[in-house]
Amino acid sequence: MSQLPRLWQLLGLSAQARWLRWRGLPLAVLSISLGLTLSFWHSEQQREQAVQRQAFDASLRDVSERIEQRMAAHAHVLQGVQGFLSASAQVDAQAFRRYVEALPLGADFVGVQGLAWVQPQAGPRGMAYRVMQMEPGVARNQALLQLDLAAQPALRELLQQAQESGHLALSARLNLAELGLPAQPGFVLALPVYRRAALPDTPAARREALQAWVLAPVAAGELMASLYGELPAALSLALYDGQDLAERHLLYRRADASWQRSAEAGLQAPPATDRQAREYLVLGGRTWTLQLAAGPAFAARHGADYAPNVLRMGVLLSVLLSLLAWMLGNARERAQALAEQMTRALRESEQRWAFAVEGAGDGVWDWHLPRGLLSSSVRWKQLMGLLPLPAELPMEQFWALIHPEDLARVRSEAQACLDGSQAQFSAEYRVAGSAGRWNWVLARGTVVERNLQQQPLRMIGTLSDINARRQSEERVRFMALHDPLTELANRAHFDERLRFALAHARRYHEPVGLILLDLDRFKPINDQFGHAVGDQLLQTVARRIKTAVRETDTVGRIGGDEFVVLLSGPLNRESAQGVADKIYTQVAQPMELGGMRLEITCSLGLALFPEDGQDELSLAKSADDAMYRNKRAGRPWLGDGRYAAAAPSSEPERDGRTDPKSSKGPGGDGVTAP
Amino acid sequence: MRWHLGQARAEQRRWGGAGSVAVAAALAWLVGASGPALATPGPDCSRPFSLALHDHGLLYSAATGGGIDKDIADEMARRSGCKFFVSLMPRARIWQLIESGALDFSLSGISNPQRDKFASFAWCFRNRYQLLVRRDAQVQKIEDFERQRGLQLGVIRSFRYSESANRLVDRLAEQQRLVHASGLSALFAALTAGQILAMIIEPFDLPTLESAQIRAQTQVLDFGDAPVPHGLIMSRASLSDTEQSRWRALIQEMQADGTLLRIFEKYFKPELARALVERP
Repeated sequence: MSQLPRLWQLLGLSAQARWLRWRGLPLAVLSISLGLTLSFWHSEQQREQAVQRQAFDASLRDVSERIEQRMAAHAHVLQGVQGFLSASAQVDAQAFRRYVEALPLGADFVGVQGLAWVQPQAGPRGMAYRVMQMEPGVARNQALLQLDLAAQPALRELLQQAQESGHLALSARLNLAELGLPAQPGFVLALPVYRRAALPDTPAARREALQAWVLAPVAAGELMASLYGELPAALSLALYDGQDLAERHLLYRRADASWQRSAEAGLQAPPATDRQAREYLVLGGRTWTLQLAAGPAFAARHGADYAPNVLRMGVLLSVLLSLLAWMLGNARERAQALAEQMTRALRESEQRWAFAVEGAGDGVWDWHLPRGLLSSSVRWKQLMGLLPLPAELPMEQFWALIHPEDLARVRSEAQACLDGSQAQFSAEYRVAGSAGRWNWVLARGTVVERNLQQQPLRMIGTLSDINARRQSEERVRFMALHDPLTELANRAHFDERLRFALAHARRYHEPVGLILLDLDRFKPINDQFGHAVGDQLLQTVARRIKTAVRETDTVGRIGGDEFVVLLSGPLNRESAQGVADKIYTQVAQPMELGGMRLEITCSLGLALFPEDGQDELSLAKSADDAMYRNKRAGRPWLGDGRYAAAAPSSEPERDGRTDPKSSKGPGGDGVTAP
Repeated sequence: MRWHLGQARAEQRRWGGAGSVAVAAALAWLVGASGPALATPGPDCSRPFSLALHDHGLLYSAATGGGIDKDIADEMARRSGCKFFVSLMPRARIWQLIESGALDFSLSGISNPQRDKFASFAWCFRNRYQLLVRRDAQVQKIEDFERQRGLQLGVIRSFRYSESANRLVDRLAEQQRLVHASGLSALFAALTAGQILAMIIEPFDLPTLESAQIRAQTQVLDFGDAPVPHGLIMSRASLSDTEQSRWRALIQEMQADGTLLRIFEKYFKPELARALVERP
């Protein structure tokens, strides 16, 4: 029970790992990359904002400084006139005209409408401020000469301020039409001229020392047009007299369409933009307000399109990256599934193959040469007479299982395959089976793996049980060489053995004995008791003959009731006759066949090599002759040497029966049963 | 003609300068000034000098044509005997010209590492900065002002202040909450009109502060920083180190002989004048 929660825990972890791989990893990649993108985008935006802020501030400072410088340049012109006037005890109109004409009042001072000098004059209605001369004396400037500036509060205030401060003074914004000039927004500059060169210390002293004023009406639009440098692009600006940004105080405006519309609608502030600022310029005792606003193009001109691109590209790359991570996770999963499928197919194939092999009764073996171990299937172990375990077997133990007679051949065959001289290894050999039996098996194999030096590393193969085939083959071979009834050697086999024995005997000068045996009165028994009894009788006789001879002797049946015995090994005529005696005695023993007691005798003929014949024909004939002599003589075989040895000169006597060898030799001992 | 004028002034300077040095030496002996100061020769007046004033309350008023800076400039001219061309211009312009060398002197400047690269100083007085805030801004502490992002601060372009004030100005600049002006009067007018909610003030702004409208509308918050030295600004580009030392010695003489204190006493109560001029 304690294993179950653990199993679930493992399953849970596995599911969690799968979730992490399928969704967690892409989500993590997405969130990390999006986080980095947002962070980078934020810092880039901050940087861009700082750059734009600095650019905007610099623009504001630049414009205000250029206005101040322009106004300072105008003041210098007036100071020049001031110097001219203060240097002259009496103002010479011609000299003043020439002086003004000598001034560079062209494009650089295009806003200055003209330069005039004004003198206070006591009149019937108080002090009047008359414009004494206005240069250049063009037609448009003539109207100013008719004016009493003291009658105009703004100008009166301007002149008094200049007189008391001793410095350049600036009028409030006015329409130059009030001075008889073309109508446009403008202002007037005034500079006092004192009778003494030095500036009087106190306002009262200045009032007393005042000689005149230098006066210059200035068109604001033209002043702004003459500013050095270009006004910053994508910026709108407006210049107001004073700090009240009402339209009536407007001196100059360069605005984009939206600001222009809102201004015409009476709104003081420009339309809401990301950046707008104002700066107060203190000039000649007055304050002007410079208002600056950045249009939409300003940000773009200062690289503001980079941060949005960073965001767009970052988001796009994040999505692509997470998609890639998802695909990688997916591919890994699919590859794993494919691998599992292939593994399953391989396992099934192995099972089918193993089933086919095992079903055919074959075992499988796998020899790992470097380790010297043999892996095998259960069936292999069964065939080899081993227990299922252990799984691996040392090769030395395997060799020991092979029949000693087969071992050298099997090792030689295996070595030929390992050396590569034979592609396939195939060997039939015997292994120890149960109950001390040797079972025949067939091993086949091939080398499946070699190293770079072509040395074998692994050899696999099968092992088949060929015991039944081997037995069948043995049986067929036995049946081809033996009499099926008595299992004694048949004529062909016996002839072969006889030839072999004679060849051996000739070479080593050894004796060979040949005994022919014919049952007496077998036919009547066969006719009387039937073939079954006759067959049983023949089988009994065959067994008795075999028990009577030595292991090295060969017994054959060459006719219906004719037998033959080949005596080999240490032999002489006495021992051969002893064997014949023993055969006779054994055959003559009563036998119980089919519930009947039967007795039968036989006639025997003995011939010895080389005395009775030099070859199989002569030897067989001698034995046959001897047997027929005994049979004709009707002499029972006494077994004590009382048999007739064949006389080489005697004529063969025939009873009309077929000679086992179709010929009768001259010699040999005849032996017959009663 | 100018050359002739300069030559005439140089003659005057030689006699006048020698007299000033003699008086200064005597005064220095009386107050125990150091020996090397006595040995320092006066400034070289072989050329006219340019000096710029800016319109800033008691330092200089364009309306009245007088002020502390003008008095000091006059005293410098008197003691040295040198010819000065005095101009009135915005403070930002003054710093630009000092840096380029087109302007020799200005007054009442404060130092920072950036300015030290192109200007040297002869300290005249020290003062503190304060934040003048409209009452309707609902600000009790300086930190409150920084926190309320809708509040705008008026400053004179190129002005630097004490450490905390500089920090506030820099942060507000990043938030685009500064309104610049080239003169003090414009800032007071904007503050009165509610176009800005605060501005940084110095003792020289006191006459304006004493107006009933300003007093009713505003309150003063202290930055709590140490007093910041102010003094004569000398352009490194136009004045040699030797010349700077001589002018610095001249200012020290003015300090030592009480001239500076007397100038300040013209505009401030004696206690405040002493607090401004006396060295720690």
